[in-house]
Amino acid sequence: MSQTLSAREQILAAIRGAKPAPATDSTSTPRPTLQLTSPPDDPDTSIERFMSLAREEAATAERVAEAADVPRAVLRYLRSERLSLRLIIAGNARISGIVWESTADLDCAAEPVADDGDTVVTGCYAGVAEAGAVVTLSSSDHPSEFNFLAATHIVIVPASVVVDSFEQLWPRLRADYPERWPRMMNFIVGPSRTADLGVPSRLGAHGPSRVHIIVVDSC
Amino acid sequence: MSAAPQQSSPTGQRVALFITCLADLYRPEVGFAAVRLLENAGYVVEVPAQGCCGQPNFNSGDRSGATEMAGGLMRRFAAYDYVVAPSGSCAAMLRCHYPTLFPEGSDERALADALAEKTHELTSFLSDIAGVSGASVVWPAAVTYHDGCSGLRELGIKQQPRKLLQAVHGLELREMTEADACCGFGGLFCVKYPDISTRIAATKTRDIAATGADYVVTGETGCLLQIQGKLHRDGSAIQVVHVAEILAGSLEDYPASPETGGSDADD
Amino acid sequence: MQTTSPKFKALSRAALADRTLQVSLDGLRRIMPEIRTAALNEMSDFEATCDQAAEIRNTAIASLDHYLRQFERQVQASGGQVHWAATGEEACQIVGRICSAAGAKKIIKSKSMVTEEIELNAWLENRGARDGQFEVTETDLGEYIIQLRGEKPSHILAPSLHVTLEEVAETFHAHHQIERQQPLSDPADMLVEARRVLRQKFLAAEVGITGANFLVAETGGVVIVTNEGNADLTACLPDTHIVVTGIEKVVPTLDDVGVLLRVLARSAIGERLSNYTTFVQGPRRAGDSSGPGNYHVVLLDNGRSNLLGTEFQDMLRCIRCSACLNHCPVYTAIGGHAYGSVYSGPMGAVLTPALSGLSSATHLPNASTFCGRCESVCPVRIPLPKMLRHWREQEFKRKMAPAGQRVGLRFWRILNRRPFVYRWVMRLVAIILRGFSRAGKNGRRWIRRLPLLGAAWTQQRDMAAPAPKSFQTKWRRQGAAK
Repeated sequence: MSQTLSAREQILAAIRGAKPAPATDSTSTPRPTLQLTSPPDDPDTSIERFMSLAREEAATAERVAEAADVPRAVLRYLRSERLSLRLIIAGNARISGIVWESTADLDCAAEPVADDGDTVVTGCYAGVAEAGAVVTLSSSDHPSEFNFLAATHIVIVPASVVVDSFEQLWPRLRADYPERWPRMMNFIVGPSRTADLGVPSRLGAHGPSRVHIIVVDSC
Repeated sequence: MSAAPQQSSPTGQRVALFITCLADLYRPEVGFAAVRLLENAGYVVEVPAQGCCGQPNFNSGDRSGATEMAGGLMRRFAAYDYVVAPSGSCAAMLRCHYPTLFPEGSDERALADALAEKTHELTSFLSDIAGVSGASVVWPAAVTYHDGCSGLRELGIKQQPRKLLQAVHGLELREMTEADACCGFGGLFCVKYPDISTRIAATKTRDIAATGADYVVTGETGCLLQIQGKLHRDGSAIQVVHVAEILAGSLEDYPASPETGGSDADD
Repeated sequence: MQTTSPKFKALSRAALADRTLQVSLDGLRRIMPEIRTAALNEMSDFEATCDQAAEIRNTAIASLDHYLRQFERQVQASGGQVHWAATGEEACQIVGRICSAAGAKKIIKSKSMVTEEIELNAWLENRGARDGQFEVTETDLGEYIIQLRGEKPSHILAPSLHVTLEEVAETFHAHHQIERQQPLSDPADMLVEARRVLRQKFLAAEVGITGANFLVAETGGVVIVTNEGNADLTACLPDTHIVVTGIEKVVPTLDDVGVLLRVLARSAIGERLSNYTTFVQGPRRAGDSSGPGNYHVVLLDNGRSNLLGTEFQDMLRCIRCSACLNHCPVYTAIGGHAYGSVYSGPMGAVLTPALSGLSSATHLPNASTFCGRCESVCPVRIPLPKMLRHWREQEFKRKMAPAGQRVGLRFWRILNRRPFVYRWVMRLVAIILRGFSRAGKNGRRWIRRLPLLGAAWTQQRDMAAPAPKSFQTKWRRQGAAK
């Protein structure tokens, strides 16, 4: 104990003793918001950009009008990809109006995701259009490993949670979590990939090899 | 294929030519071309007795050597309206680095600041200050331009030589891939790490050859020697010229080298 | 940090002769600048964003103790533990103690240059647990490959850049006990195999060790960026998660992180954002079905605080994007191993002498043409050539440069005191050099061979001979003739 305590004091003393060159305090400077070549001016454009940029990173994306449309969209997706119709449903995928079990062909389970090969369906906290990123927060309704262990990750994104830029995300997070943050926040852009086995990158390095985004307009 | 000198109203201003040690030793025709260009633009050109700007010492970490050499050069060039060098790296040494050698508030610092203010690389001086367009020169050839690193990154020289070259009648300027990639000269680097230097040069000469141009043009004598040295060793027919030589119409009017004929050769 | 930087010349020569390495480096040299340019052209204010990124890093560095203490408080408030290590050895001991206390043997790691710097894997495997060895598995594919091969990383983002696909297949054949239909040749099959093997390691691991890209003082968050998702698995499956990080990575606020993220992936790999950007905020919460029960952050100094207040302070801004490596004519000619350090390229040439001492890395600051491309692409505006020059100044002061060079510079300085002496000596130089020349193409004389220092030029290049009379000589004669 005393060894690390003295290392702490040693290091802090070394830092204080050195005289770093003064810098202006950037916390008081307003940050320029990101200006892409065609900045969005309405939420719909944000959503289109969000989906388009996610697609550029090998995710697939679609839009449905109502929450009730989601299970059918999922079924279509699984069939078109020739995937098993067995799904692990995270708690936060049960957003208003979605009754997963009502869609007969889907084999829904609410259980921990197994080693590999599973398809998981989760909700999310937000979408960030500037990068095509889905934002998820860990909770009992959304265990973090759902994002990483499954082979296929289907994310339900309510239209109302899509923001243009990171600058719009931080105030929401601060307001929603004034005391204590969830253990893990993930920004996810498309499937997992690696360039260590040559270019172009290969999908499905450790995380999912498929990410499918379903934006729900009414939510 | 003649080169008519460009007439413009005399400005009467006095320009000191900073020849640079490499051009002085290896390629005096660059100096004569620079003088011609400056005189045609209406300046009175003088060449004060001079040596090296101190860049080799500065870049090798010998600050006191560089400071001493800078002090000497500053005094020799103090009395002129402009100092013009046919080299981005030497001009950058005076413009960007001389002031940093002397303490703020000192007399030398004031001298260095004044010198920095009025020192220019040749093509940027001709283009940005003298307003030269180079249109009177005729030289039909396919050329590609290599950007010297210091000129580009310390002085922002990119468009000026191209603008001047493109106004030369008959000249076709072809851009190589990564014209702004280093040629591998790097001052003492080229002899301290010759294997790496030559490999970098090989990438550059490959990119030059890929343009199909007959000439590669540069604004730096160091780059010129490096690229020329590699091309010649490889048996390439591509010739290397300094941008001043093209713009001054030197290549037809004057001999291509100081070895043969002409008023400059003096054997 | 162990380095082999004194062997720089021999290593670089070997690298230049290595054909497969040269093919990889040629690809890197051509592709990376293109994709970076495409990514930043998408933003109308990329350069302004980089200026702001530099300012943010400066703010953190200027009050490093304040932000580190804020970060520490936040981590502790979330239930995590913070440890401070002045040296690499101390950091290894801390990690070893945590693993032993957790009764852990199986450790997984995500890519962390800091853990390479302190050689944590070797420490854990050699000194190990009291009752049996620690088993450490790298999970980043590139790191995993070089771990199996017993090699060091050759690029800070792509550590296995120097390894060919054939060599990867050989390595997997040698190390994986797997039944295969046929030998591995398709990278798709190699990926499937690696994923399967490493998945087992993920699931069995008792401790996960990651690095950190940024430390958020405001929230106590640790930001980890990957494309593979391996850091995320490392951080959420085992019961203990240890973050090992340099102290300079702290940034004040979330907004600051947003700005830095914007320039990081674009500068590194020409992407808007990496596939996974993860903020870790402490151990598992009540109600979480998974996540580590034990969460530790190890803050490592290892020479970083020594840079504060010196002419090298700006180096602490580095966000390890590797843009400088990818744009460097020297790095892309010789690759990372020649530098003999886990940090290579321009940033490595500045940082390595700082962390392991100038005398173990004398070549690195000298093997640069000062082309300045590194500085022009650095998203946090580090004046890399200027810092390399500062190292050269230190070498000059401490007489570490070769004697011949010192003598030559002194001679040059004295020579330039009087222009007429300079002119006469240069006339002599011209005569001597011309003595080695022969008439040749384009009406010039050419030199093919020179002795002594000149041989360094003429081994692989010709030299156009100096003119018979220098410019100044001719000019003076012209003037006299008028």
